[in-house]
Amino acid sequence: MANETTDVLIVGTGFGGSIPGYYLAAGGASVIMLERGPRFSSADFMQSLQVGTFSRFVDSIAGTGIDVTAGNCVGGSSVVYYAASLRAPSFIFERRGTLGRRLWPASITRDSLDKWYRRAEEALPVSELSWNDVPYAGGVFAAACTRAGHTCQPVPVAVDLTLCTNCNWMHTGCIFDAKRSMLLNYIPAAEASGAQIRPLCEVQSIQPAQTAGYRYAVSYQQVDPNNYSNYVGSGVIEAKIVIIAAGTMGTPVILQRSAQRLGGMPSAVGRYFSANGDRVTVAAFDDDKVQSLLGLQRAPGVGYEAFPIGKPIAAMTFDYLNPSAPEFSRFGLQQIYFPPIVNLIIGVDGTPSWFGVAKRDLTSQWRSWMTILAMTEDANEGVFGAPPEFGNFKRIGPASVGQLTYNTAPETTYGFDLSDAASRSIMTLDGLATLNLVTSTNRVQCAHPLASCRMGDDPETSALDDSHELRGHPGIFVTDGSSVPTSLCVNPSLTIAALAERASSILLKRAHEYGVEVKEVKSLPQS
Amino acid sequence: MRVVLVPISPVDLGVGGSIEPVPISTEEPFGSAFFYRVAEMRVMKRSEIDRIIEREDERLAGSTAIAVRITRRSLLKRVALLAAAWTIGPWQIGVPSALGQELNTLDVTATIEAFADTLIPGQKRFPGDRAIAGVVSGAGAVQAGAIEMLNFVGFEEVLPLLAVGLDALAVLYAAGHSIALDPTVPPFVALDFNSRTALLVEVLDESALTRSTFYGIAALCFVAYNTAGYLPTAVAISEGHPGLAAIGFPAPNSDGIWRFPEFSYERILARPHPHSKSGNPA
Repeated sequence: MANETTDVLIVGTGFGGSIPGYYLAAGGASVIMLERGPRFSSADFMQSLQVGTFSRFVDSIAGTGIDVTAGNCVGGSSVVYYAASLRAPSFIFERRGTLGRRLWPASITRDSLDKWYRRAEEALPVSELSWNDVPYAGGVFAAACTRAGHTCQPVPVAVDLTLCTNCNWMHTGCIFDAKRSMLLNYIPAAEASGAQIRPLCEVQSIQPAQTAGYRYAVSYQQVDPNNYSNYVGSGVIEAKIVIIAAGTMGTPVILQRSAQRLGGMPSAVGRYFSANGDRVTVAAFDDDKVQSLLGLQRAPGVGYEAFPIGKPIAAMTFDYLNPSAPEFSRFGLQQIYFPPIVNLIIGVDGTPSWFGVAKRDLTSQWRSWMTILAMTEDANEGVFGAPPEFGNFKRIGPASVGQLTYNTAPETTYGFDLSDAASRSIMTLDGLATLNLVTSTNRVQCAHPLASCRMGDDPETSALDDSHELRGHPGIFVTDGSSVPTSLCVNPSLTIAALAERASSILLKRAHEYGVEVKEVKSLPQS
Repeated sequence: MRVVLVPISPVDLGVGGSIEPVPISTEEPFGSAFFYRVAEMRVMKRSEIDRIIEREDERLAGSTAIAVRITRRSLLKRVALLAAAWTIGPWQIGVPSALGQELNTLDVTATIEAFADTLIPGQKRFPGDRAIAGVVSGAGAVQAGAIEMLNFVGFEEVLPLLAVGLDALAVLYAAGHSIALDPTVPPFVALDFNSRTALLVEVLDESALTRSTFYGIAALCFVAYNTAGYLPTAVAISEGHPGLAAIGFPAPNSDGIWRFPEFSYERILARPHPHSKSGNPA
């Protein structure tokens, strides 16, 4: 029986898959998008921390030395992200890392990417927050920065402020459709143009096509919706263009598994992973000091005690993003909400450092907590091992174990230490708060995986050229977070979206080289 | 997956010591305990385990007995079975029948409760409550449903294994610290709170061989207390879940949905970075 065929096969439906999916479908190509996770909408999401609810569409993947959180559903991580939508600072694009030469392609700078940032901001769309939109936690963060002599500003967010209830449940999927995920813009626009989205189809590998006129055959397994470890069917689709956007944790695994059948793979596939330099700490505020030192009261006698209220990210200081400072010393410092499922990892002074009476006492102040996320410049030290037989990682009951090893480099540790010191200097000034580190584990806690199949100009240290095309494999493009060459010092989603916008423009121009005729598409998805 | 049962000395248990196999014939004050490496494992045949245990019994014959509820032979067998069974995959196995027959539910529950109470302490539920040490007032992980949480994720079948492991470690700890254990309760329960804490600091240390086995269970105790993860959150709050109450997790609106109409100080609280534009860094 002949294989199913399509012009364009896209693996993954997050930012990196949905955006080219829209443009290529709107341009007239036949597009099939395979998503390993289920398809949910706001009607399916629940404000609940019950195990087994949110874990239907979020994976926590344990590697060696690192824990990574990633989306697993139609819409990808856009369904569970915190919607902070920031452009990366200019110096990021000039980073040289530990290799001593520019890591980003010469053709990509902040200036050159700005027009694609603008398109992504308009399409999502992104809202600028006024101080009236900044929740209490962001307010306390800002006031603490001010008192310590720092600047701070509201963070742009992809949120419809007219629909937002400040419920602080973005991590379980927005039930109000206020958060602007791919489910509300690019995906419906792609489908309106004829793209087919097939959930619960987990791509395993790519090989040369057998059908004349088609370049690649993509093999997938159909996933049991009630047990993602079970496969209930399989299929093969042949395509003229293949776009891999399975996420930073998925893309390199699929490509590694395909290496033999495709006749080799660039050595940078599965190397140079970046955790975006994510570093988490917790400030626990003395509420009297919030009132006396910061002059804040949200109710009579109550200064803050509002950790669970609001949008999860709303304020950030750029004071540590000095472009002339040495590499690995710069970081963005941001107020963020972590649900209490992560209370486990937060530490206290003394022994035991993360459980016992003192930890229980700290937890009793949970409403006075504020999680702080530093996004530093890491050294791209993550490496993927050999892929498992199936899937992107091994599911073992409620846990997932991946092949990623992240041995924190001295340069990364340096950035962690500097950001910890910065948080401490701001938050503990005059006893305003205590600063608590993650102590239950030495593993890096990463919500922003990047760079496992990165772009660059150097074939030795990059898997993709500056058009996102996989070196040595014409017609295979990678457009997700794995293509981002370095950590960004800001939340990555807008940069991934902007790069996908840029890549889509390239794909529309070059599709004919692969036998796919498309028209130019300038319009943004209408939502 | 293969299992190798590695005999190591008691002092190596949980403190990141050598995991090199120690010859069975080494002269140790208490004898070798069998432990395991999760990686590169080879399942030992039951006959092999029995043969090693017999040799241990012979070697230790005549040594000073320590007042423990379980014999050395039983201890060794239990730890060996735990190791062999655990490495197959805690979510994919039942309790080996030989082990299950040795345990009763009460012992298992008390040991696991004592473990949970060491992580997030609570007050005693009734006079004479031995599992809960009672070092604080108010609810701890046990009252917050640690056992319910472990059962919810399907751990009920492996709790006996975990209890056996904890009790074996408690016996070794007691031996190493010259602590006489009350034989009427499981060994871990027989330890006082400070000893339980000291033992778990070792057991849960990131470099400890025991870490991978017990950290997941510890995490679920935290999930029980901090999130009531075995219940829909709104239901847990309506039922007065003590952990959510203790951390101050807010209640939803009357329809079970969270919304916060009051959420902002509505004040300008900082000046922006001079080079920022539209909320973005330069």
